[in-house]
Amino acid sequence: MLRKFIPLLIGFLTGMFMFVQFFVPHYVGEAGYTLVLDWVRVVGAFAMVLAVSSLFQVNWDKIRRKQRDWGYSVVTLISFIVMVYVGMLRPGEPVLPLGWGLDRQSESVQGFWDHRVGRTDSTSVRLTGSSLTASGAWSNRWSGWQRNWGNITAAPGQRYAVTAQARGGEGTAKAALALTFLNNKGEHLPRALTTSQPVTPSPQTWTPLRVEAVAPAGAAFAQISLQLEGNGKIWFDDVQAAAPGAASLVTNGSFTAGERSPGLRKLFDTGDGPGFQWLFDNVLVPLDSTMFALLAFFMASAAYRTFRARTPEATVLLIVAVIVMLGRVPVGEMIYHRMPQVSEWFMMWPTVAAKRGILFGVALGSIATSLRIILGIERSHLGGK
Amino acid sequence: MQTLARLLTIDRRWIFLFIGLAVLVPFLTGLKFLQGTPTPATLAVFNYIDQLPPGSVVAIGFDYGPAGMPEMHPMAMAIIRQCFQRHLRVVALTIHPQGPLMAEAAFNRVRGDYKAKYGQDYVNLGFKPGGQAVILGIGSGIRNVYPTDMRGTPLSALPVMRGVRTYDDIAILIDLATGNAPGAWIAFGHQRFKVKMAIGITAVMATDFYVYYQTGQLVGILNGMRGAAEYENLVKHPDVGVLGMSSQSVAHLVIIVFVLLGNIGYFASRAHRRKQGGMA
Repeated sequence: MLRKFIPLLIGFLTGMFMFVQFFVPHYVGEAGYTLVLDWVRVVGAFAMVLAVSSLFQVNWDKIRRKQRDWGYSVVTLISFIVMVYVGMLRPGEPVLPLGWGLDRQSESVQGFWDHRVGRTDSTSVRLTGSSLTASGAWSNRWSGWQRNWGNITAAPGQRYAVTAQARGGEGTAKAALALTFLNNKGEHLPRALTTSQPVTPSPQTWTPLRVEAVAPAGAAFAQISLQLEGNGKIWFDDVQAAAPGAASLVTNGSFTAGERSPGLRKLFDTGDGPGFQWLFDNVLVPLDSTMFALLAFFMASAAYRTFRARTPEATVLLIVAVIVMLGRVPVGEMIYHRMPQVSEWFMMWPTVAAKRGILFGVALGSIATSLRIILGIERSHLGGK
Repeated sequence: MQTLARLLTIDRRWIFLFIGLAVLVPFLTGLKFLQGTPTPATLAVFNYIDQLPPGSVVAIGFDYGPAGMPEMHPMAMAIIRQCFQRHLRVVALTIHPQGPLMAEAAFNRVRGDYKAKYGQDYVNLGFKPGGQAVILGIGSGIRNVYPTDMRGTPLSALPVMRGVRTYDDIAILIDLATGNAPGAWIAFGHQRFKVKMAIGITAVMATDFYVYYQTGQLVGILNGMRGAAEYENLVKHPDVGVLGMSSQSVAHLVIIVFVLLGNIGYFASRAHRRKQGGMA
């Protein structure tokens, strides 16, 4: 008895709560409503996990039992595993320097941890911009995995001086050094950004960059950005940040050490990675587009076979269909200049009238079914008869 | 009469061949038909965005995948183009799992022409599962649903999101969709939170949504590839939408010709049968 009673009670209480809170604006109702929305989103996420496991299970069973067309299931599972591997583990993606990550503003910027060029040793970080609008930066607090952040704590009222060395490559890209402050929630403080004058560094020698700022009230962290703007290559090395009476505050300013757990960072970091993007652009997009494009052929064939003026109603349908088809394309306007307006009239009035009737029917049906579920009259969703 | 009746049995491979040629030839030859006056539904969306003051927020729902690209992508690019021309902030979000990459592709195609910067002029918030719950959640606070953007940057760190908290801060939400997402956005986003809305949909879906346009619940509708082509012309940047309309023009003509042939064959065959019946 409880197996049916408890779900029915939950359904009744939830249904009544949602109904009442919609019409009665009260903070308790609002809070409960927000909580329910969060639950729905969590359930939605679980539903995706369930869908993925179901896909795996169904196809695996088909292969195991060698059912009809089991070969397609092999292709499905292999594709599934490849996408998960490439999307989550990101093979081939380079290791980052410890405490630094890439804050990329545009897709035309790439960042590298360079092991061949350096000022005092053979390591530095490089940014490569491939368009005039390219913009990006290496930063100690970047948009990726927090475990690889090189946190610099800041005290309000304290003066901080940051220096870095930059070297140019081919192109006209400009380098700049930026210092900004964040509060203890990690939010950027207003008017707290100081940027050095952008320069095009020489390819032969290292150009010093320097920026100084006083931490404003509420500052808890400092963020350093090594910025590139434009087309070309720029190397950065020997980043130092100092406050009076303190040694350099920068983690791994010479870029000699690598991040501690690149595998974990790739797994937990957001974003899709270049491999996933490549597979999406070059496999999924053409396949999906091809499948959808096939519809045009089948629709043409179906129209030829079924659009017959067999009855007066079918004749009206046929004439209207031809008018709407012609009204949708410029050639229709060339045949008769008012064709688009006639087509639009059919869309706006007769079609809407019919559609509205259907919508009212569906809405009334939904309300009736919802009431039956809330009141426990409709029980088929609980299973059994 | 018997010869005409044979029109009833054209091998469908001929139809496939003609449709294939109808689509391909205009693309390969660059054949263009002059686009006439835009439909009022398209013009309404353009005019609404055009009168927004600079800095206003235009949210675009990228609720489509690669299958919908031919129709939806030209619309997306034309709308983004207009927003960048008018210095409006663009916020992309989606309840379709493939939507975030569609948004990335659209921004990548357009942003270079206007030197638009990620985080300052536009942002991609990405996908959240939950459909209606996501739409309703934005009404309570966009940061509750999207604490970070697609790349993991907190929204508070993005200048483009400054002052954007709920639907009240969004000037217009344009949902570009191939499924039933616009229905949910209209029912829960517009009706409950009164956000101004427009939609861009595939031509086959249009009949479902003119109802909402006629009642004023939607500012306007971009209807299929025609809507995309009209919008491209309105932003004075004819692109793949305009080119696609030539293919669609010829393809529609081919389908109409085959439908006519089928009907000629049908009437000829009926007349032939009657004649034979009369003789018997």
